[in-house]
Amino acid sequence: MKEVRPVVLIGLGDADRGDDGAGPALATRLAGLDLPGVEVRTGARDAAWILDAWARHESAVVVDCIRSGQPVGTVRRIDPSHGPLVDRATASTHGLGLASAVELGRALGDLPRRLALVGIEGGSFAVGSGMSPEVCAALPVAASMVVRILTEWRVQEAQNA
Amino acid sequence: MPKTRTIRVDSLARVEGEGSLTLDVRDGELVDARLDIFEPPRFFEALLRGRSCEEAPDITARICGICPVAYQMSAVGAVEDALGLTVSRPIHLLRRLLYCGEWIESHSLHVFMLHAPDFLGFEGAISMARKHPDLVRRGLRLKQVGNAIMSLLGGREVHPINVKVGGFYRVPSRAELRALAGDLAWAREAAQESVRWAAKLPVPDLARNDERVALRGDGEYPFDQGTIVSDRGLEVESEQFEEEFIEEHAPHTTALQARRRDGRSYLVGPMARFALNRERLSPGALEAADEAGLDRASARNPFRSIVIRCVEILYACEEALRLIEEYDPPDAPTSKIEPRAGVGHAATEAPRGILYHRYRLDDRGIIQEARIVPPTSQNQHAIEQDLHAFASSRLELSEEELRHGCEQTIRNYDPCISCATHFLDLRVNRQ
Repeated sequence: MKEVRPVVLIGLGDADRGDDGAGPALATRLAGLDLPGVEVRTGARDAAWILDAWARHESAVVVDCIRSGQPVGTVRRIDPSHGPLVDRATASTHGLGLASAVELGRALGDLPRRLALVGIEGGSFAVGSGMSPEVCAALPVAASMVVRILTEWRVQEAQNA
Repeated sequence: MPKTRTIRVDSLARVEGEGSLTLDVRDGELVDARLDIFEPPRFFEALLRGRSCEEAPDITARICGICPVAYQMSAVGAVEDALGLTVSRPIHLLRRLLYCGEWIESHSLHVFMLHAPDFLGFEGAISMARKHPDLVRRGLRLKQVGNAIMSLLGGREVHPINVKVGGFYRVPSRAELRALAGDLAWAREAAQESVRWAAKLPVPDLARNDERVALRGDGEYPFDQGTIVSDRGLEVESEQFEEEFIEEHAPHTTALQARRRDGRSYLVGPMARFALNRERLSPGALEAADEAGLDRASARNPFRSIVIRCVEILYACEEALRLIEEYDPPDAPTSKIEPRAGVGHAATEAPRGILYHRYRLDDRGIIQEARIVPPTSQNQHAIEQDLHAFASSRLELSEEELRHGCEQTIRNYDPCISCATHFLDLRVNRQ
Protein backbone atom coordinates (compact mmCIF):
# COMPACT_ATOMS: atom_id res chain seq x y z
CA MET A 1 0.00 0.00 0.00
CA LYS A 2 1.34 3.39 -0.96
CA GLU A 3 2.18 5.81 1.77
CA VAL A 4 -0.08 8.83 1.95
CA ARG A 5 1.73 11.92 3.16
CA PRO A 6 0.10 15.00 4.56
CA VAL A 7 0.82 18.10 2.49
CA VAL A 8 2.78 19.01 -0.61
CA LEU A 9 3.55 22.58 -1.50
CA ILE A 10 4.28 22.96 -5.22
CA GLY A 11 5.93 26.03 -6.71
CA LEU A 12 5.49 26.21 -10.49
CA GLY A 13 7.36 28.41 -12.91
CA ASP A 14 10.65 29.26 -14.49
CA ALA A 15 13.10 31.13 -12.30
CA ASP A 16 14.80 32.55 -15.39
CA ARG A 17 11.68 34.24 -16.75
CA GLY A 18 11.08 37.35 -14.65
CA ASP A 19 7.86 37.19 -12.62
CA ASP A 20 7.36 33.56 -13.64
CA GLY A 21 9.94 32.79 -10.95
CA ALA A 22 7.40 33.70 -8.23
CA GLY A 23 6.25 30.10 -7.67
CA PRO A 24 9.71 28.56 -7.18
CA ALA A 25 10.86 31.62 -5.14
CA LEU A 26 7.93 31.29 -2.75
CA ALA A 27 8.37 27.52 -2.45
CA THR A 28 12.05 27.99 -1.61
CA ARG A 29 11.18 30.62 0.99
CA LEU A 30 8.58 28.33 2.63
CA ALA A 31 10.95 25.33 2.50
CA GLY A 32 13.26 27.41 4.72
CA LEU A 33 10.54 27.55 7.38
CA ASP A 34 10.66 23.76 7.66
CA LEU A 35 6.92 23.53 8.15
CA PRO A 36 6.03 20.21 9.84
CA GLY A 37 4.50 17.62 7.54
CA VAL A 38 4.94 19.79 4.45
CA GLU A 39 6.97 18.54 1.49
CA VAL A 40 8.07 21.29 -0.87
CA ARG A 41 8.59 20.75 -4.61
CA THR A 42 9.33 23.04 -7.51
CA GLY A 43 8.86 22.17 -11.13
CA ALA A 44 7.59 22.73 -14.59
CA ARG A 45 4.06 23.66 -15.54
CA ASP A 46 3.38 20.21 -16.95
CA ALA A 47 0.17 18.32 -16.18
CA ALA A 48 1.84 14.91 -15.91
CA TRP A 49 4.46 16.28 -13.54
CA ILE A 50 1.91 18.16 -11.42
CA LEU A 51 -0.41 15.12 -11.11
CA ASP A 52 2.57 13.05 -10.05
CA ALA A 53 3.76 15.71 -7.61
CA TRP A 54 0.50 15.73 -5.64
CA ALA A 55 -0.21 11.99 -5.93
CA ARG A 56 -0.19 10.24 -2.57
CA HIS A 57 -0.74 13.50 -0.68
CA GLU A 58 -3.81 14.33 1.32
CA SER A 59 -3.50 18.02 0.59
CA ALA A 60 -1.71 20.27 -1.86
CA VAL A 61 -1.07 23.96 -2.25
CA VAL A 62 0.11 25.06 -5.69
CA VAL A 63 1.73 28.44 -6.06
CA ASP A 64 2.02 29.89 -9.54
CA CYS A 65 2.38 33.15 -11.36
CA ILE A 66 -0.89 34.14 -13.05
CA ARG A 67 -2.20 36.72 -15.48
CA SER A 68 -5.79 37.62 -14.75
CA GLY A 69 -5.88 41.33 -15.50
CA GLN A 70 -5.36 42.36 -11.85
CA PRO A 71 -2.58 44.77 -10.83
CA VAL A 72 0.88 43.16 -10.83
CA GLY A 73 1.64 41.73 -7.39
CA THR A 74 -1.99 40.92 -6.55
CA VAL A 75 -2.20 37.64 -4.61
CA ARG A 76 -5.29 35.48 -5.08
CA ARG A 77 -6.49 32.21 -3.66
CA ILE A 78 -8.30 30.07 -6.20
CA ASP A 79 -10.45 27.20 -4.98
CA PRO A 80 -10.75 24.57 -7.73
CA SER A 81 -13.85 23.12 -6.05
CA HIS A 82 -15.74 26.23 -7.15
CA GLY A 83 -15.76 25.15 -10.78
CA PRO A 84 -13.70 24.05 -13.76
CA LEU A 85 -10.48 25.87 -14.56
CA VAL A 86 -9.62 26.91 -18.08
CA ASP A 87 -6.17 27.44 -19.52
CA ARG A 88 -6.75 30.76 -21.24
CA ALA A 89 -3.24 31.83 -22.03
CA THR A 90 -1.18 28.70 -22.15
CA ALA A 91 1.93 29.37 -24.15
CA SER A 92 1.84 25.96 -25.74
CA THR A 93 -1.01 23.59 -26.49
CA HIS A 94 1.47 20.78 -26.48
CA GLY A 95 2.15 21.58 -22.87
CA LEU A 96 -0.87 20.72 -20.73
CA GLY A 97 -0.55 23.09 -17.79
CA LEU A 98 -1.94 23.59 -14.28
CA ALA A 99 -5.59 24.01 -15.29
CA SER A 100 -5.36 20.82 -17.36
CA ALA A 101 -3.74 19.03 -14.43
CA VAL A 102 -6.63 20.06 -12.14
CA GLU A 103 -9.29 19.07 -14.68
CA LEU A 104 -7.56 15.78 -15.57
CA GLY A 105 -7.18 15.09 -11.84
CA ARG A 106 -10.88 15.87 -11.31
CA ALA A 107 -11.94 13.58 -14.20
CA LEU A 108 -9.68 10.78 -12.97
CA GLY A 109 -10.57 11.18 -9.31
CA ASP A 110 -6.92 11.94 -8.66
CA LEU A 111 -7.18 15.31 -6.93
CA PRO A 112 -5.84 15.64 -3.42
CA ARG A 113 -8.61 15.77 -0.82
CA ARG A 114 -7.80 19.43 -0.25
CA LEU A 115 -6.32 21.59 -2.97
CA ALA A 116 -5.67 25.30 -2.98
CA LEU A 117 -4.10 27.37 -5.72
CA VAL A 118 -2.33 30.59 -4.84
CA GLY A 119 -1.76 32.92 -7.77
CA ILE A 120 0.58 35.88 -7.88
CA GLU A 121 -0.21 38.30 -10.68
CA GLY A 122 2.85 38.76 -12.90
CA GLY A 123 3.65 41.39 -15.48
CA SER A 124 7.15 40.89 -16.83
CA PHE A 125 8.46 37.63 -18.21
CA ALA A 126 11.67 38.63 -19.96
CA VAL A 127 14.47 36.06 -19.86
CA GLY A 128 16.94 36.75 -17.04
CA SER A 129 15.20 39.93 -15.93
CA GLY A 130 14.50 38.86 -12.33
CA MET A 131 11.15 39.43 -10.63
CA SER A 132 9.50 42.86 -10.68
CA PRO A 133 9.49 44.88 -7.41
CA GLU A 134 5.70 44.38 -7.19
CA VAL A 135 6.04 40.59 -7.32
CA CYS A 136 8.96 40.60 -4.87
CA ALA A 137 6.81 42.64 -2.48
CA ALA A 138 3.94 40.16 -2.95
CA LEU A 139 5.99 37.13 -1.87
CA PRO A 140 5.54 37.70 1.92
CA VAL A 141 1.82 38.26 1.34
CA ALA A 142 1.58 35.01 -0.58
CA ALA A 143 3.67 33.20 2.06
CA SER A 144 1.26 34.36 4.77
CA MET A 145 -1.65 33.17 2.66
CA VAL A 146 -0.10 29.71 2.27
CA VAL A 147 0.59 29.48 6.02
CA ARG A 148 -3.01 30.58 6.69
CA ILE A 149 -4.35 27.86 4.36
CA LEU A 150 -2.21 25.21 6.05
CA THR A 151 -3.37 26.39 9.49
CA GLU A 152 -6.98 26.39 8.35
CA TRP A 153 -6.61 22.78 7.18
CA ARG A 154 -4.94 21.72 10.44
CA VAL A 155 -7.79 23.26 12.42
CA GLN A 156 -10.34 21.48 10.25
CA GLU A 157 -8.42 18.25 10.70
CA ALA A 158 -8.37 18.69 14.48
CA GLN A 159 -12.08 19.45 14.54
CA ASN A 160 -12.82 16.35 12.47
CA ALA A 161 -10.55 14.13 14.60
CA MET B 1 -23.58 33.65 -56.77
CA PRO B 2 -20.79 31.84 -54.95
CA LYS B 3 -21.97 30.33 -51.70
CA THR B 4 -19.50 30.51 -48.83
CA ARG B 5 -20.08 28.83 -45.53
CA THR B 6 -17.74 29.37 -42.62
CA ILE B 7 -17.42 27.10 -39.64
CA ARG B 8 -15.29 28.38 -36.79
CA VAL B 9 -13.65 25.86 -34.51
CA ASP B 10 -12.52 27.42 -31.28
CA SER B 11 -11.72 24.26 -29.39
CA LEU B 12 -8.89 22.62 -31.23
CA ALA B 13 -6.23 22.77 -28.60
CA ARG B 14 -4.49 19.68 -29.81
CA VAL B 15 -2.29 21.02 -32.60
CA GLU B 16 0.70 23.20 -31.86
CA GLY B 17 0.68 26.73 -33.33
CA GLU B 18 -1.81 29.07 -34.93
CA GLY B 19 -3.44 27.78 -38.06
CA SER B 20 -6.61 27.45 -40.05
CA LEU B 21 -7.88 25.19 -42.76
CA THR B 22 -9.69 26.28 -45.91
CA LEU B 23 -11.49 23.90 -48.23
CA ASP B 24 -12.63 25.37 -51.58
CA VAL B 25 -15.53 23.41 -53.04
CA ARG B 26 -16.83 24.23 -56.51
CA ASP B 27 -19.82 22.43 -58.04
CA GLY B 28 -19.54 19.71 -55.44
CA GLU B 29 -15.85 19.08 -56.01
CA LEU B 30 -12.97 19.94 -53.75
CA VAL B 31 -10.60 22.14 -55.70
CA ASP B 32 -8.20 23.24 -52.97
CA ALA B 33 -7.27 22.37 -49.40
CA ARG B 34 -4.97 24.85 -47.66
CA LEU B 35 -3.50 24.61 -44.19
CA ASP B 36 -2.92 28.28 -43.44
CA ILE B 37 -0.36 29.01 -40.79
CA PHE B 38 -0.43 32.47 -39.30
CA GLU B 39 1.87 31.89 -36.40
CA PRO B 40 4.12 34.94 -36.48
CA PRO B 41 7.62 34.30 -37.82
CA ARG B 42 9.96 33.89 -34.87
CA PHE B 43 13.29 34.95 -36.35
CA PHE B 44 15.36 32.37 -34.48
CA GLU B 45 17.79 32.05 -37.37
CA ALA B 46 18.42 35.81 -37.26
CA LEU B 47 18.67 35.72 -33.45
CA LEU B 48 21.50 33.23 -33.70
CA ARG B 49 23.66 35.48 -35.86
CA GLY B 50 26.43 37.11 -33.86
CA ARG B 51 26.11 34.62 -30.97
CA SER B 52 28.75 32.15 -29.95
CA CYS B 53 28.29 28.70 -31.46
CA GLU B 54 28.28 27.36 -27.90
CA GLU B 55 24.99 29.19 -27.30
CA ALA B 56 23.23 27.43 -30.22
CA PRO B 57 21.90 24.44 -28.23
CA ASP B 58 20.40 26.63 -25.49
CA ILE B 59 18.91 29.25 -27.83
CA THR B 60 17.39 26.72 -30.24
CA ALA B 61 16.02 24.59 -27.38
CA ARG B 62 13.66 27.54 -26.79
CA ILE B 63 12.02 27.06 -30.19
CA CYS B 64 9.87 24.25 -28.88
CA GLY B 65 8.73 23.16 -25.42
CA ILE B 66 8.01 19.59 -26.50
CA CYS B 67 11.03 18.76 -28.63
CA PRO B 68 13.86 20.87 -27.16
CA VAL B 69 16.20 17.86 -27.18
CA ALA B 70 15.83 17.55 -30.95
CA TYR B 71 16.85 21.19 -31.34
CA GLN B 72 19.78 20.69 -29.02
CA MET B 73 20.92 17.54 -30.79
CA SER B 74 20.77 19.09 -34.26
CA ALA B 75 22.46 22.25 -32.95
CA VAL B 76 25.38 20.47 -31.29
CA GLY B 77 25.70 18.09 -34.22
CA ALA B 78 25.97 20.93 -36.74
CA VAL B 79 28.33 23.03 -34.60
CA GLU B 80 30.55 20.03 -33.89
CA ASP B 81 30.60 19.31 -37.63
CA ALA B 82 31.75 22.88 -38.27
CA LEU B 83 34.43 22.56 -35.60
CA GLY B 84 35.59 19.18 -36.86
CA LEU B 85 34.77 17.62 -33.52
CA THR B 86 33.70 14.01 -33.04
CA VAL B 87 32.27 13.16 -29.64
CA SER B 88 33.22 10.00 -27.78
CA ARG B 89 31.01 6.93 -27.99
CA PRO B 90 29.75 7.24 -24.39
CA ILE B 91 28.63 10.81 -25.16
CA HIS B 92 26.87 9.64 -28.34
CA LEU B 93 25.11 6.93 -26.32
CA LEU B 94 24.06 9.39 -23.62
CA ARG B 95 22.63 11.64 -26.33
CA ARG B 96 20.66 8.66 -27.65
CA LEU B 97 19.34 8.06 -24.14
CA LEU B 98 18.29 11.69 -23.81
CA TYR B 99 16.54 11.43 -27.18
CA CYS B 100 14.74 8.27 -25.91
CA GLY B 101 13.37 10.43 -23.09
CA GLU B 102 12.06 13.04 -25.50
CA TRP B 103 10.45 10.47 -27.82
CA ILE B 104 8.72 8.75 -24.88
CA GLU B 105 7.49 12.08 -23.53
CA SER B 106 6.45 13.63 -26.83
CA HIS B 107 4.86 10.52 -28.35
CA SER B 108 2.99 9.69 -25.10
CA LEU B 109 1.56 13.19 -24.94
CA HIS B 110 0.46 13.01 -28.56
CA VAL B 111 -0.86 9.44 -28.59
CA PHE B 112 -2.83 9.56 -25.34
CA MET B 113 -3.70 13.21 -24.76
CA LEU B 114 -3.99 14.70 -28.24
CA HIS B 115 -4.74 11.95 -30.77
CA ALA B 116 -6.59 9.20 -28.88
CA PRO B 117 -9.65 11.44 -28.28
CA ASP B 118 -10.12 11.60 -32.09
CA PHE B 119 -10.29 7.85 -32.42
CA LEU B 120 -12.47 7.31 -29.36
CA GLY B 121 -14.86 10.19 -30.06
CA PHE B 122 -14.05 12.67 -27.32
CA GLU B 123 -13.53 16.39 -27.41
CA GLY B 124 -10.24 16.09 -25.58
CA ALA B 125 -8.22 14.25 -22.99
CA ILE B 126 -10.22 15.57 -20.03
CA SER B 127 -13.58 14.24 -21.27
CA MET B 128 -11.86 11.04 -22.37
CA ALA B 129 -10.39 10.64 -18.87
CA ARG B 130 -13.87 10.19 -17.38
CA LYS B 131 -14.59 7.15 -19.60
CA HIS B 132 -11.08 5.79 -20.07
CA PRO B 133 -9.25 6.69 -16.88
CA ASP B 134 -6.73 3.87 -17.12
CA LEU B 135 -5.74 4.87 -20.64
CA VAL B 136 -5.15 8.47 -19.59
CA ARG B 137 -3.27 7.42 -16.47
CA ARG B 138 -1.08 5.18 -18.58
CA GLY B 139 -0.31 8.07 -20.94
CA LEU B 140 0.51 10.41 -18.07
CA ARG B 141 2.77 7.89 -16.40
CA LEU B 142 4.56 7.07 -19.65
CA LYS B 143 5.12 10.77 -20.17
CA GLN B 144 6.56 11.01 -16.70
CA VAL B 145 9.01 8.20 -17.47
CA GLY B 146 10.24 10.25 -20.43
CA ASN B 147 10.32 13.35 -18.24
CA ALA B 148 12.54 11.57 -15.72
CA ILE B 149 15.17 10.78 -18.38
CA MET B 150 15.01 14.38 -19.62
CA SER B 151 15.29 15.66 -16.10
CA LEU B 152 18.34 13.56 -15.24
CA LEU B 153 20.28 14.05 -18.46
CA GLY B 154 18.94 17.45 -19.46
CA GLY B 155 18.99 19.06 -16.03
CA ARG B 156 15.23 19.66 -16.10
CA GLU B 157 12.14 18.35 -17.97
CA VAL B 158 11.41 21.44 -20.05
CA HIS B 159 14.06 23.32 -22.00
CA PRO B 160 16.96 21.18 -20.79
CA ILE B 161 20.19 22.99 -19.96
CA ASN B 162 22.80 20.26 -19.62
CA VAL B 163 23.65 19.67 -23.28
CA LYS B 164 26.70 21.43 -24.64
CA VAL B 165 28.80 21.48 -27.76
CA GLY B 166 31.29 18.65 -27.22
CA GLY B 167 29.20 16.68 -24.72
CA PHE B 168 27.38 17.54 -21.51
CA TYR B 169 28.07 19.88 -18.60
CA ARG B 170 27.59 16.95 -16.26
CA VAL B 171 27.23 13.25 -16.95
CA PRO B 172 25.26 10.93 -14.67
CA SER B 173 26.67 8.15 -12.53
CA ARG B 174 25.78 4.52 -13.19
CA ALA B 175 23.63 4.51 -10.08
CA GLU B 176 21.69 7.55 -11.21
CA LEU B 177 20.89 5.90 -14.53
CA ARG B 178 20.04 2.54 -12.97
CA ALA B 179 17.49 4.30 -10.77
CA LEU B 180 15.46 4.90 -13.97
CA ALA B 181 15.35 1.21 -14.90
CA GLY B 182 12.38 0.17 -12.75
CA ASP B 183 10.02 2.74 -14.24
CA LEU B 184 11.34 2.00 -17.71
CA ALA B 185 10.60 -1.69 -17.27
CA TRP B 186 7.00 -0.74 -16.39
CA ALA B 187 6.94 1.62 -19.39
CA ARG B 188 8.07 -1.16 -21.71
CA GLU B 189 5.11 -3.32 -20.66
CA ALA B 190 2.76 -0.34 -20.92
CA ALA B 191 4.07 0.44 -24.40
CA GLN B 192 3.55 -3.19 -25.52
CA GLU B 193 -0.04 -2.97 -24.31
CA SER B 194 -0.39 0.38 -26.08
CA VAL B 195 0.70 -1.06 -29.42
CA ARG B 196 -1.99 -3.75 -29.09
CA TRP B 197 -4.58 -1.10 -28.11
CA ALA B 198 -3.68 1.27 -30.96
CA ALA B 199 -3.68 -1.56 -33.53
CA LYS B 200 -7.40 -2.16 -32.81
CA LEU B 201 -8.46 1.46 -33.32
CA PRO B 202 -10.77 1.91 -36.33
CA VAL B 203 -9.00 3.90 -39.02
CA PRO B 204 -10.31 5.53 -42.20
CA ASP B 205 -8.82 4.30 -45.47
CA LEU B 206 -6.23 6.64 -46.88
CA ALA B 207 -3.14 5.59 -48.75
CA ARG B 208 -0.42 8.13 -49.43
CA ASN B 209 2.24 7.56 -51.98
CA ASP B 210 4.67 10.35 -51.11
CA GLU B 211 8.35 9.68 -50.92
CA ARG B 212 9.22 8.80 -47.34
CA VAL B 213 12.42 10.33 -46.02
CA ALA B 214 14.22 9.52 -42.78
CA LEU B 215 17.65 9.03 -41.35
CA ARG B 216 19.11 5.56 -41.46
CA GLY B 217 21.37 4.86 -38.56
CA ASP B 218 24.41 2.67 -38.61
CA GLY B 219 22.70 -0.45 -37.30
CA GLU B 220 20.58 1.66 -34.94
CA TYR B 221 17.06 3.01 -35.23
CA PRO B 222 17.91 6.65 -35.90
CA PHE B 223 18.02 9.41 -33.31
CA ASP B 224 20.98 11.75 -33.39
CA GLN B 225 22.77 10.71 -36.53
CA GLY B 226 22.50 8.81 -39.79
CA THR B 227 22.36 9.06 -43.54
CA ILE B 228 19.32 10.73 -45.14
CA VAL B 229 17.55 8.03 -47.15
CA SER B 230 14.21 7.57 -48.87
CA ASP B 231 12.11 4.73 -50.23
CA ARG B 232 12.88 6.03 -53.73
CA GLY B 233 16.60 5.50 -53.51
CA LEU B 234 17.78 8.80 -52.04
CA GLU B 235 20.93 8.38 -49.98
CA VAL B 236 22.77 11.55 -48.98
CA GLU B 237 24.60 12.96 -46.01
CA SER B 238 23.25 15.92 -44.06
CA GLU B 239 25.56 18.38 -45.84
CA GLN B 240 23.65 17.60 -49.04
CA PHE B 241 20.24 18.29 -47.48
CA GLU B 242 19.83 21.66 -49.18
CA GLU B 243 20.76 20.18 -52.54
CA GLU B 244 17.86 17.77 -52.30
CA PHE B 245 15.20 19.73 -50.40
CA ILE B 246 14.10 23.33 -50.85
CA GLU B 247 11.93 25.56 -48.72
CA GLU B 248 9.60 28.05 -50.36
CA HIS B 249 7.15 30.60 -49.16
CA ALA B 250 3.49 30.04 -50.03
CA PRO B 251 1.26 33.12 -49.79
CA HIS B 252 -1.21 31.55 -47.31
CA THR B 253 1.29 30.64 -44.64
CA THR B 254 3.95 32.29 -42.52
CA ALA B 255 5.84 29.00 -42.33
CA LEU B 256 8.10 27.91 -45.13
CA GLN B 257 7.07 24.74 -46.94
CA ALA B 258 9.71 22.26 -47.94
CA ARG B 259 9.62 20.17 -51.09
CA ARG B 260 11.92 18.00 -53.05
CA ARG B 261 13.95 20.06 -55.50
CA ASP B 262 11.69 18.91 -58.37
CA GLY B 263 8.62 20.23 -56.52
CA ARG B 264 7.27 16.95 -55.11
CA SER B 265 6.07 16.72 -51.53
CA TYR B 266 7.63 14.19 -49.19
CA LEU B 267 7.02 12.79 -45.74
CA VAL B 268 9.17 12.76 -42.65
CA GLY B 269 8.27 11.40 -39.22
CA PRO B 270 7.29 8.07 -37.66
CA MET B 271 5.82 6.49 -40.81
CA ALA B 272 8.92 7.27 -42.85
CA ARG B 273 11.26 6.26 -40.04
CA PHE B 274 9.49 2.96 -39.54
CA ALA B 275 9.35 2.17 -43.25
CA LEU B 276 13.06 2.83 -43.68
CA ASN B 277 14.37 1.38 -40.42
CA ARG B 278 11.98 -1.39 -39.48
CA GLU B 279 14.71 -4.02 -39.21
CA ARG B 280 16.68 -1.74 -36.87
CA LEU B 281 14.00 -1.88 -34.19
CA SER B 282 14.72 -3.73 -30.98
CA PRO B 283 13.44 -7.34 -30.91
CA GLY B 284 10.49 -6.51 -28.67
CA ALA B 285 9.43 -3.50 -30.74
CA LEU B 286 9.72 -5.50 -33.96
CA GLU B 287 7.64 -8.32 -32.52
CA ALA B 288 4.98 -5.85 -31.38
CA ALA B 289 4.94 -4.24 -34.82
CA ASP B 290 4.52 -7.67 -36.44
CA GLU B 291 1.71 -8.56 -34.06
CA ALA B 292 0.02 -5.27 -34.90
CA GLY B 293 0.24 -6.16 -38.60
CA LEU B 294 2.52 -3.24 -39.35
CA ASP B 295 4.65 -3.64 -42.41
CA ARG B 296 6.18 -1.13 -44.79
CA ALA B 297 3.01 -1.06 -46.90
CA SER B 298 0.71 -0.31 -43.97
CA ALA B 299 3.00 2.55 -43.08
CA ARG B 300 1.30 4.43 -45.93
CA ASN B 301 -1.98 5.19 -44.12
CA PRO B 302 -1.32 8.29 -41.97
CA PHE B 303 -4.17 7.27 -39.64
CA ARG B 304 -2.03 4.32 -38.57
CA SER B 305 0.77 6.63 -37.46
CA ILE B 306 -0.64 6.33 -33.92
CA VAL B 307 0.30 2.63 -33.94
CA ILE B 308 3.79 3.43 -35.17
CA ARG B 309 4.22 6.06 -32.44
CA CYS B 310 3.35 3.37 -29.88
CA VAL B 311 5.94 1.05 -31.46
CA GLU B 312 8.46 3.88 -31.21
CA ILE B 313 7.60 4.45 -27.54
CA LEU B 314 8.27 0.76 -26.99
CA TYR B 315 11.52 0.99 -28.93
CA ALA B 316 12.64 4.03 -26.95
CA CYS B 317 11.95 2.17 -23.67
CA GLU B 318 13.89 -0.91 -24.77
CA GLU B 319 16.74 1.19 -26.14
CA ALA B 320 16.87 3.26 -22.96
CA LEU B 321 17.07 0.09 -20.85
CA ARG B 322 19.87 -1.24 -23.04
CA LEU B 323 21.80 2.03 -22.88
CA ILE B 324 21.45 2.17 -19.11
CA GLU B 325 22.60 -1.43 -18.73
CA GLU B 326 25.66 -0.86 -20.91
CA TYR B 327 26.51 2.61 -19.62
CA ASP B 328 30.15 3.26 -19.16
CA PRO B 329 30.69 6.82 -17.92
CA PRO B 330 32.98 8.86 -20.19
CA ASP B 331 36.37 9.96 -18.92
CA ALA B 332 35.33 13.57 -19.36
CA PRO B 333 31.83 15.03 -19.74
CA THR B 334 32.90 17.08 -22.74
CA SER B 335 35.54 17.42 -25.41
CA LYS B 336 37.65 20.54 -25.61
CA ILE B 337 36.38 23.07 -28.12
CA GLU B 338 38.74 24.87 -30.50
CA PRO B 339 36.97 27.66 -32.40
CA ARG B 340 37.56 27.72 -36.14
CA ALA B 341 35.85 29.05 -39.23
CA GLY B 342 33.67 26.58 -41.06
CA VAL B 343 30.23 25.38 -42.05
CA GLY B 344 28.54 22.50 -40.24
CA HIS B 345 25.38 20.51 -40.92
CA ALA B 346 23.35 18.02 -38.91
CA ALA B 347 20.06 16.20 -39.32
CA THR B 348 18.53 14.34 -36.39
CA GLU B 349 15.19 12.59 -35.87
CA ALA B 350 12.87 14.79 -33.81
CA PRO B 351 9.70 12.94 -32.73
CA ARG B 352 7.94 14.51 -35.77
CA GLY B 353 10.74 13.80 -38.24
CA ILE B 354 13.98 15.14 -39.61
CA LEU B 355 15.22 18.40 -38.08
CA TYR B 356 18.03 19.98 -40.08
CA HIS B 357 20.45 22.65 -38.84
CA ARG B 358 23.30 24.40 -40.65
CA TYR B 359 25.66 26.99 -39.15
CA ARG B 360 28.43 29.06 -40.67
CA LEU B 361 31.00 30.12 -38.09
CA ASP B 362 33.82 32.63 -38.22
CA ASP B 363 37.28 31.91 -36.80
CA ARG B 364 36.14 32.96 -33.30
CA GLY B 365 33.28 30.48 -33.42
CA ILE B 366 30.68 33.24 -33.85
CA ILE B 367 27.60 32.25 -35.87
CA GLN B 368 27.47 34.20 -39.14
CA GLU B 369 24.53 32.35 -40.64
CA ALA B 370 22.04 29.77 -39.38
CA ARG B 371 19.49 27.64 -41.18
CA ILE B 372 16.86 25.50 -39.44
CA VAL B 373 14.35 23.26 -41.25
CA PRO B 374 11.86 21.69 -38.82
CA PRO B 375 9.80 18.58 -39.60
CA THR B 376 6.44 20.36 -39.76
CA SER B 377 7.51 22.60 -42.64
CA GLN B 378 8.58 19.46 -44.46
CA ASN B 379 5.25 17.74 -43.83
CA GLN B 380 2.94 20.71 -44.43
CA HIS B 381 2.56 20.05 -48.14
CA ALA B 382 1.87 16.38 -47.48
CA ILE B 383 -0.72 17.35 -44.83
CA GLU B 384 -2.53 19.48 -47.42
CA GLN B 385 -2.49 16.60 -49.87
CA ASP B 386 -3.86 14.26 -47.17
CA LEU B 387 -6.61 16.78 -46.44
CA HIS B 388 -7.45 16.92 -50.13
CA ALA B 389 -7.50 13.15 -50.44
CA PHE B 390 -9.53 12.73 -47.23
CA ALA B 391 -12.07 15.52 -47.78
CA SER B 392 -12.64 15.12 -51.52
CA SER B 393 -14.30 11.73 -51.05
CA ARG B 394 -16.27 12.87 -47.98
CA LEU B 395 -17.89 16.15 -49.00
CA GLU B 396 -21.31 14.66 -48.31
CA LEU B 397 -20.50 14.56 -44.59
CA SER B 398 -21.95 17.19 -42.30
CA GLU B 399 -19.58 20.06 -41.74
CA GLU B 400 -19.14 18.94 -38.14
CA GLU B 401 -18.11 15.45 -39.27
CA LEU B 402 -15.94 16.86 -42.02
CA ARG B 403 -14.20 19.23 -39.64
CA HIS B 404 -13.56 16.46 -37.15
CA GLY B 405 -12.09 14.22 -39.85
CA CYS B 406 -9.89 17.03 -41.15
CA GLU B 407 -8.60 17.82 -37.66
CA GLN B 408 -7.77 14.17 -37.13
CA THR B 409 -5.99 14.11 -40.49
CA ILE B 410 -3.85 17.06 -39.41
CA ARG B 411 -3.13 15.48 -36.03
CA ASN B 412 -1.83 12.35 -37.77
CA TYR B 413 1.31 14.40 -38.20
CA ASP B 414 1.40 15.85 -34.69
CA PRO B 415 2.30 19.15 -36.34
CA CYS B 416 4.21 21.60 -34.31
CA ILE B 417 3.42 24.82 -36.07
CA SER B 418 5.32 27.10 -33.73
CA CYS B 419 8.05 24.74 -34.04
CA ALA B 420 4.06 26.45 -31.64
CA THR B 421 -2.60 26.07 -32.10
CA HIS B 422 -4.96 27.33 -29.95
CA PHE B 423 -7.56 26.89 -32.58
CA LEU B 424 -8.12 25.82 -36.08
CA ASP B 425 -10.53 27.76 -38.25
CA LEU B 426 -12.15 25.60 -40.88
CA ARG B 427 -13.51 27.56 -43.79
CA VAL B 428 -15.49 25.69 -46.46
CA ASN B 429 -16.04 27.81 -49.54
CA ARG B 430 -18.83 26.19 -51.54
CA GLN B 431 -19.49 27.74 -54.95
